[in-house]
Amino acid sequence: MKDNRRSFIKKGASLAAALSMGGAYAARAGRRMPDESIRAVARDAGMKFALMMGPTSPRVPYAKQMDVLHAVSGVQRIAGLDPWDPKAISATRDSWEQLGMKWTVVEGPPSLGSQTKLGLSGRDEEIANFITFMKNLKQYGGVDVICYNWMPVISWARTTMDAPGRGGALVTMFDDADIQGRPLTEYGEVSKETLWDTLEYFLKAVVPEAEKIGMNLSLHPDDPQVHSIQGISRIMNTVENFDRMLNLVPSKYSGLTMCQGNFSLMGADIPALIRRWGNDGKINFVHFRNVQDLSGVLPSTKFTETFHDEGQIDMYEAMKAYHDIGFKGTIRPDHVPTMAGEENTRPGYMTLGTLYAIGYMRGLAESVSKRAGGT
Amino acid sequence: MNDNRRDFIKKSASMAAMLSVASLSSCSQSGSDQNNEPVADGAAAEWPITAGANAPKMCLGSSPKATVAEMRKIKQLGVDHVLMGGPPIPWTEETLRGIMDRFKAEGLTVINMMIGGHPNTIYGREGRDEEIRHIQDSLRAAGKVGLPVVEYNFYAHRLMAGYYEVEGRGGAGITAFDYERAKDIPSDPEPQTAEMLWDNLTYFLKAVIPVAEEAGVRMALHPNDPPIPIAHGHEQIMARFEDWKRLIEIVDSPANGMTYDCGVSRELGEDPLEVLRYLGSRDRINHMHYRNVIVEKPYEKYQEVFIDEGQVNMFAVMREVFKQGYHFGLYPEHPRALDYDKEHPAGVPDFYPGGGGYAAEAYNVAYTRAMMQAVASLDGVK
Repeated sequence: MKDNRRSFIKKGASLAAALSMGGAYAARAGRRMPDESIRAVARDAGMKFALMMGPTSPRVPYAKQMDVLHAVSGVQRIAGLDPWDPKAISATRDSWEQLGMKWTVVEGPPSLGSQTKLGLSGRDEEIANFITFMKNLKQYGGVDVICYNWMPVISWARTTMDAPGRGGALVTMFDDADIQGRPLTEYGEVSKETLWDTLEYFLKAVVPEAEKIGMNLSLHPDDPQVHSIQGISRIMNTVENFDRMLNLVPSKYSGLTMCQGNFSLMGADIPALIRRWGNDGKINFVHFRNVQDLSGVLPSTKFTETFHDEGQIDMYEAMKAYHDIGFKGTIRPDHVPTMAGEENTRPGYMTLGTLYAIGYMRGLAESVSKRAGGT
Repeated sequence: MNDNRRDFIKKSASMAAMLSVASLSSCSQSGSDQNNEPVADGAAAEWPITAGANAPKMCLGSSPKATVAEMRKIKQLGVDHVLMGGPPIPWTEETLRGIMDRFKAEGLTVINMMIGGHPNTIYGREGRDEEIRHIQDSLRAAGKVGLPVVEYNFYAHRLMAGYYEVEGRGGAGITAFDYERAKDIPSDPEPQTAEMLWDNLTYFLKAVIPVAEEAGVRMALHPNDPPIPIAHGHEQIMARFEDWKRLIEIVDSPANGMTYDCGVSRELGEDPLEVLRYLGSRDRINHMHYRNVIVEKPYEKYQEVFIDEGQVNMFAVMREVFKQGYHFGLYPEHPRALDYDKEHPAGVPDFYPGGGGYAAEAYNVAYTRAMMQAVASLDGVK
């Protein structure tokens, strides 16, 4: 078990033609070895394959075995320290470095909560802390992408966590009909206008700061992308609204997270949208995900997650589009089915489905980067 | 859990059709005039990509006695075909049908069974004619029940002792082979020379291939793996590209074919594409293994690595496979030992050092599925 793998691979390349055996088996000795290593093209088409996890997550060893060496991670909690404290951020960066992995994205940043999204008192303090977080994250964490969303109070939502998928695998599902009649939250009715106002206020405050330090703000679409849940409106639920958002405070540093599932459920042609926003430099981060609409309306009111290779999105064309726009950022598989033998303890994020998703992404990335060469 | 899956797929297909119409209008509303349309690569297959009759069939190994739960594990991976070791010879229609129907009930088609139990045939000993009769009967039974491919081996002794585990990325298990570790083990009592084995194989093929042909069954001879020249004192005759060329000429029939293994091809120091084109253009590939290797010394020293990191250009192989219209089984075999499998009871079948289980198969199957969808998108399906 002590063999040094790296030197083996090196030796393998240089000694490949050496052959000591006699007779007919020596026939290959002088032959040029077909070196068709995939190292001839950029690994993963030059993209940063990542998983969402913390440094102590049991996913870390699996990620390394899958050769997934980038992390979408929050800041480690350290007693007595705010998550925007340089010490907390530095500690997180050190943890990832010690694991041999690179921390590239924060998803769901601290200090961006309901005060800011609903425009309540206290939002200026939240925003000030958010700006501090951005600066320290860049300076001490080396991270330059923040994925945030504009879903106050009720965030990610599903109505079924164990719908039967392929071969009896379990998938999450959302059906708007299941939540009709649910009571308003303590915040009552929240209009779309309010959310547009608060979003604009936020962007005007943070985008100039993001520009100064080179932080890529990446707004995630609403999930589910319905018009409202329990009285709280949703605005990041159509492609048109994303175009409007991008124009509120136009900047190289105000972009989006291409979450394929939600944009597809808004009716978008995903490969075409990747090309359009990608060529405009708006895609900072990718959730590579597939879904199936079951509602027949847009934006979808009923849908299910699927395995990556089924579902309604043309995944090969999507991967090809990232390659063609020269996307080199972080890409992670999102929700995956729960598979045989797994307890459904974290629907969407179990191990077997994640292994499947990464294998699939890697095969597509290798294909799109090799297709041009004709081999 | 009572949803009818078939209905679900049907429904989703029609929903998808509705949606794609809607998405066109939605996109133009959002002012997508700056779209850089991709340069068309060819006659692309439409999503969702379905494997047609002329596409390869991804398959996984199973036990003929698999439980329904075990069959569903395969289905969850999106795999609809299985291969397995067949029952003791002679096979009967009834036995085969019993096995195949159980799988069919779970949506799995048995595409290949390995036939064995012919040691006297391999050694050219008394009793071989009875074995051959049993195999002929088995092939007739296979033809009647619609089993398309029967795989077999023709070696006197496999040199398992040369395999050992090395640590790969993240501590995953890699299967390594080194002839040095096993070349000095004592010879078996009746060492077979290459010519003895060729004679015995020829005798066998002349007897069974016409029967297979008549039954509509194709035979696939598995190459020697490890492809070393001598195992336990016996010479090996399926260990070189020249051997494979010689095999298919013994009886000139597509029923007299091989298992093409891009990994083994590379273990010989051959170009896997050249081997694929040679055998495929002659319609002699009746089964296929899809795996990757890094070779230090052809025939003798190599590692069976992750499918995504070796010396075989897996994309080029898949592209050529589709180009040939190859439509039998394609088996992404020899998964690596991942921690997940090691940590689960019975997660790793005790066979190859550094070999893995279901989790590693999930990774390999998904990579292979991506390659298949990519090639179908790019070049279409014949």
